[in-house]
Amino acid sequence: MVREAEPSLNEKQFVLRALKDGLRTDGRRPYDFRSIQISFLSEYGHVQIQLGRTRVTRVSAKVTAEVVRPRPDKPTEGLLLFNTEISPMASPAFEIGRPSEEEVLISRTIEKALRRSRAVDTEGLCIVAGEKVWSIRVDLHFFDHEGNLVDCASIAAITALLHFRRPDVTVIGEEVTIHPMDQRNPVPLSVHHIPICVSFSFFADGELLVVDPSIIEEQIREGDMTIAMNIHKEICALSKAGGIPLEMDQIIRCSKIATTKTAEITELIQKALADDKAQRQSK
Amino acid sequence: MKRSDGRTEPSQLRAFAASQSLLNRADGSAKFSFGESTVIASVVGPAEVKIRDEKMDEATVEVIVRPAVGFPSTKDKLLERALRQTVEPTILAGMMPRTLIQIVVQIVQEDGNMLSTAVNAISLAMLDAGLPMNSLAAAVSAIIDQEGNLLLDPNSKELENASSVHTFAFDNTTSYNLLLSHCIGTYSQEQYLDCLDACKHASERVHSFIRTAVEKRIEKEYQQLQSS
Amino acid sequence: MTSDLKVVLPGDLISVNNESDESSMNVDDDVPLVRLGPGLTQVQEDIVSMKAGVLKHQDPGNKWWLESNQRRYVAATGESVIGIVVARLAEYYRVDIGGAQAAILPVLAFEGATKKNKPNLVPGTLVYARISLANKDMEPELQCFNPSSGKADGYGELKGGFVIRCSLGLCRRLLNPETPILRFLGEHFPFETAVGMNGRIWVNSENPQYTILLANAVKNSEYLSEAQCKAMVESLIDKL
Repeated sequence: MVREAEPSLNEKQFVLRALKDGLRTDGRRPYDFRSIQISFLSEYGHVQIQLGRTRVTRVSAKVTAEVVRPRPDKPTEGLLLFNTEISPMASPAFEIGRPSEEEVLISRTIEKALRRSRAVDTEGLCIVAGEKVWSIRVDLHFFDHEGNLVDCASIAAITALLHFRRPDVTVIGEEVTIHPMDQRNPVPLSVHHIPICVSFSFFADGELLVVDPSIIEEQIREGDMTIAMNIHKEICALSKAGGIPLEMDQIIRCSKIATTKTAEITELIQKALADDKAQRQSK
Repeated sequence: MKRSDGRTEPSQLRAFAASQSLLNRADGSAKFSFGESTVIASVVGPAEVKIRDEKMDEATVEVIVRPAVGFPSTKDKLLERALRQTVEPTILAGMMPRTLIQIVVQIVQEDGNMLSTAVNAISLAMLDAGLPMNSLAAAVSAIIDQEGNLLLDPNSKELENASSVHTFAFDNTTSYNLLLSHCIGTYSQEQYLDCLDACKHASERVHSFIRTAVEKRIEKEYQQLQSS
Repeated sequence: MTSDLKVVLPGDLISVNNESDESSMNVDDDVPLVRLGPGLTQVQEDIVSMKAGVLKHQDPGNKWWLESNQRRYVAATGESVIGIVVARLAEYYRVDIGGAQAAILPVLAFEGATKKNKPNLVPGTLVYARISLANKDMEPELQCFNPSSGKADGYGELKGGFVIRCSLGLCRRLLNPETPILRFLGEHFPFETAVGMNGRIWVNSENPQYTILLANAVKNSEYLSEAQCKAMVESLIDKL
């Protein structure tokens, strides 16, 4: 077991002192999100997200689809699965087969933000009721952990879902034909809304807060909160698992910040998708 | 002869691509591709080892394989074992007793040949991590298809039509030792030796590619530091 | 300068005999004496490299070594490192120096320390220390004084400031106070640094804004030329 090195007292004191002056150790201001870089790989639904420029948090998401039998209690609904197992590649603190608390929280937040908020229309994934439905799975690969894996993962997952195309199907009576991608244009998933996670870390009894915490900020924070929101200013999920108690105003302030960040990030994702589409068509 | 991905020769390899040091949390990392088949490998170590894995006279080498889709299966465990046995002899583990060398292999995109792609990615990642090594492994795969043709570096489509699949890894010492011989299917001794020979020649190309990649990288770093 | 770079990979045979000069001849048996440094080893008759790096040679003494870069620290006697105290035991402190094992810092290994009068360091304290003993089979040992003078000479607890983590190669370059990046930064404001060979650099200045700028400028300078360093420092200063 390789442990994550604890920061020294000097670093802890310095981070807090700088925050009191509104400064962060990577040169950002408290409400700044790191720059987000979105890159698409050759297959549909394979996306890599990078937060930051030099020391980056990096997560990629890969969407795949297969035809399965639906759950007996929901015969007309397709499946949407997430695999958020974190390998030690991202940070030596993660172990295979023994999920840490952090890993479980990330996985739960992604599930709540994307699946339970019904971001993807699962009814539209039904091929033959009670017989055949699409099962969409999102595999998240965590490469580098420099803080805020959850926001990075949520952006990767939703961008990959938006980018993904599944093979077209036709149903004639009992006969189901799945058309290979090169014969008939594949179809995108129907996505109802785009939830974006925005995470906060709190310091000094909740007096100080930062958006998109870096790893050292995560290590010394007193409390944290993640808000998943969409462009319609709807809160899709909110996770505040432990940490110091927060004032109500603080939560309102956070949700206001989340509103602007969500709008910015959504615009970024849509622009990246449009650019990629144009590029693919020109080929 | 035309191959399914447009290659014209049975002995033609797909384009190689590699980059080193692409991750910041690991001690060393690399990406290696044969065409569309892409693997990212990371290396951490020599690091603290669990007491139960500790070896008094050498480093413990651990390989973890993460599939592109889904959870690790038996197939990935098998790959872990083959990879560990291939790269372990190239590491001077005796110089790092009671430590852990942890190698993580993330499959990014699968289009055949994952074993050899992973061997090459690990070799590059270990170079980047600066582990003491006595040599370097490089691997290439070949198949004998249903018609009895020998095809080097098969893609997934060609693998469907294979009657036997062979992967070989060689080191870069003057004797060019065999580090791995992994074969599946039925084949004659002659076919085996043909594959061995073809892969040996091809792996020389991988070795020289790795050398050029490392040379270019180091030269670039020096140039940047000295141009003023 | 760059044209004669000789890049070697693990397993490469290094020929060292053709360039040997008279001065390095061993008087007894006419076999030239070769001194091997980091990255090279002897396997029977041959000299073989163990890492990827640039082969370096120094004529006086016929010394050969590899210059390579990595991130993981492997302790070597005599090097200065920055460690974090992780535990305090009766006789010694356990200090994390970024290697495979935590190092040992005896409580008496400080300038003028006696059984009655010794520093008390709490876990989390940063120390600047010298490796007094390094061996692959044992935990490294540290000391916080210069063995030749018995004085602290800058070793000991580091107070305040911030720590940057970077590659070992960058640390080696920063040991030289005339390194472009440190020189350019020094033109704008005063600061203190302590360079650990284990990939950690302690930086401090009179205000946090400068310290942050310092930390980011040093971290980003790894692959920048002198001119690029200058431009980066200036753009960072302008943003203040």
